[in-house]
Amino acid sequence: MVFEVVVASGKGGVGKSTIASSLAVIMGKELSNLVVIDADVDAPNLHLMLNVREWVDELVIRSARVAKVNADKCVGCGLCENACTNRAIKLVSGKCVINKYLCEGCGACVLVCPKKAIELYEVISGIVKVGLTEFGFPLITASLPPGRANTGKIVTEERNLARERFKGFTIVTDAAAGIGCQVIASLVGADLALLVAEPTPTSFNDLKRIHRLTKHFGIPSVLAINKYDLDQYMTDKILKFAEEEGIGVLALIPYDSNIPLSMARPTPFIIQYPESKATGGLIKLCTEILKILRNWDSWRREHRVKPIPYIPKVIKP
Amino acid sequence: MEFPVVKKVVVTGGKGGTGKSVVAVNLALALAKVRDVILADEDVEAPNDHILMGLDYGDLREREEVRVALPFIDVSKCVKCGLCSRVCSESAIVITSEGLPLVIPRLCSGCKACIYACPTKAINEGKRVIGYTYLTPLNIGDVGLTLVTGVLIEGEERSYPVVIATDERAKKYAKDLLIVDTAPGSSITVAASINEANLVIAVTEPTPLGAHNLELVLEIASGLGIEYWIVLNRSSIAPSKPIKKVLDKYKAKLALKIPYSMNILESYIKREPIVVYKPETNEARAFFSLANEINEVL
Amino acid sequence: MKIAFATEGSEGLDAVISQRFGRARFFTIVEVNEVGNVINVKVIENPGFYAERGAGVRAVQRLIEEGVNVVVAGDFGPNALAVLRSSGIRPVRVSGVAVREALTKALQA
Repeated sequence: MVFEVVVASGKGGVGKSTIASSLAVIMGKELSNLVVIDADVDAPNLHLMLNVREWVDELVIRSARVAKVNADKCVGCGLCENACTNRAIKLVSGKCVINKYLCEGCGACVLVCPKKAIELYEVISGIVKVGLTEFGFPLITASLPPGRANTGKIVTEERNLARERFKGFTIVTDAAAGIGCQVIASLVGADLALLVAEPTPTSFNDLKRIHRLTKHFGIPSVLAINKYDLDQYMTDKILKFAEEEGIGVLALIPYDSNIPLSMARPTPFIIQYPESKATGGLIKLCTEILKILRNWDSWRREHRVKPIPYIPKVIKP
Repeated sequence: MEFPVVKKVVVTGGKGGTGKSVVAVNLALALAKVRDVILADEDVEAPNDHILMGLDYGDLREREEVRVALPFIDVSKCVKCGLCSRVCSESAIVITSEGLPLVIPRLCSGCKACIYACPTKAINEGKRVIGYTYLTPLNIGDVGLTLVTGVLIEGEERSYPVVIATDERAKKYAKDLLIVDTAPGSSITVAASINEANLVIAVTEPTPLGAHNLELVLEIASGLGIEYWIVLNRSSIAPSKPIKKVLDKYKAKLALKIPYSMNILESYIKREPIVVYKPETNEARAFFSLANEINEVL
Repeated sequence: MKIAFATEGSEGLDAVISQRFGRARFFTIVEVNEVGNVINVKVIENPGFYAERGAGVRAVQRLIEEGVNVVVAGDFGPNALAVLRSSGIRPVRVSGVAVREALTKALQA
């Protein structure tokens, strides 16, 4: 049975990847069929944390398009500049120039150009790679060339690859920070959201936003509070919020100065520091997740979330 | 009459959690002592600058809607050619079994390609609200500055138009100095924030991942021909060898090293920016000296 | 009547139904007559599998073109549901079993 847990947080830097990599290592010991997806395509780091031994496959995705002006045909009318909603076109010395870092290839400029001077061409939107970690399970990761649109496309390719290549495997996905399309692409169709927060006002703020997003997709959430002892007052506020919203709190992990130190080396924190302060909390978190996985059908029925439709605010012409 | 030229300083960082917002807020406040400063929070999916200065969402002022175009089909003029559905790069227009186009608002990016493509001008332009910008004049301690915040509505996929709207509102209002706090990562929304900056301050940390993300950001900055300085945050947690390699490759200046600091952590949790509440500390002094350098160059 | 099953494989009636509609690899379209006998089985690729955004929408578009009346999958995303409703195609939620077994449930719907 395919079961996918997505680790998300809204805010970056709260310990999502530390938790995702620990979860992967512990689950990898218990399950023979685990695959991990690094969906933080802007800043992938699981290939470092999980020490990929060899890369077994690579998939170059060329679905993005970028527009380019043929300077010989361009008469500098500037209609394309007006039509571009991305501000990617500028009139420079009488010719229209497109900034490749800002163009998303919608094609509006191609349609408005009276001289048919603009063309769309395919660019590499990203590269998906499959690697074998030192722990025996595969990792699917990806990278974007700088300046490329962070659509959910690459994340979707990663998730498709996981389901195709590793049929029936259990999936742990480390989502990107934020709530935009790259995170939405990680959440759609996932079974469980493991939300990670730290007791800071900024993290709490973002936790509420990411939780609203999971409700929108009808995905049940559980919570881990990282570095909980930094501010007990804030931790209590988050716990109260979790109770009000029916989010199960699986673990409170204490602040551990060894964690930032551990990021400098390509080994997961719990392996580098098996006796450290936070290790116990991380192991407890993973045990709870495994419990949920083992009782999935009944847990899911008890914690069913009705998807809340998102109604866009629309203004008629 | 001479119009003042606004200088734009962009604080970015690649990896999330490197301390970008802390640097942006403290730098903005330090500069606000001597200049007229606007701080634009362009991390629209998770804007936090107001929180770091002790404000709540409800304290933000002067809300304006960020709207993108939304096509409305006039079925009386539609000839069912299906062209609109074909040119849509977002799969936001479906052709039903009756042959009529159906728009899915949530997927529409507002590019208007369908409106341009329609041979019978059967598509009218409505609007959709995808986010908000706020303009909040502030006094933190005795320092005055204006905060412009961009927020993406949860459930919306594309933050790019909200970033642009925030950037434009900040530019319009700015008279002297504009400090921008970008989203993490190195994608198109970060490129949009960096565009037309006078200076990029790239905040990183001494880990292999920090170095890798720094490189991606510097690729964009150098591709756009913009000068960049580096701030190395939490410099004490690991040797900075991976960062040095990037600095050499891009001939980048290391403008500031901030060791791991309980003072900064405390100010973060208490939401009291260190340059205002503890200006005598080493960390605050470091921000002041960076602010001085920027003040001189711009 | 045409019933489309979202499937991960192309084995036809023995293919297992996919949990997700928009990102399923294939659609197995089963045509039945008035008494519920299978008269045709066709497997097509799902354009949503490869789509950058709006996977469910592209999938529905394809099914509209195929003249499908009912679609079966584990779950449907919000965009897909909206379009299915407007197009009069009925969504039915089933997953984890083969098309053959789910056929009866789909016919009852």
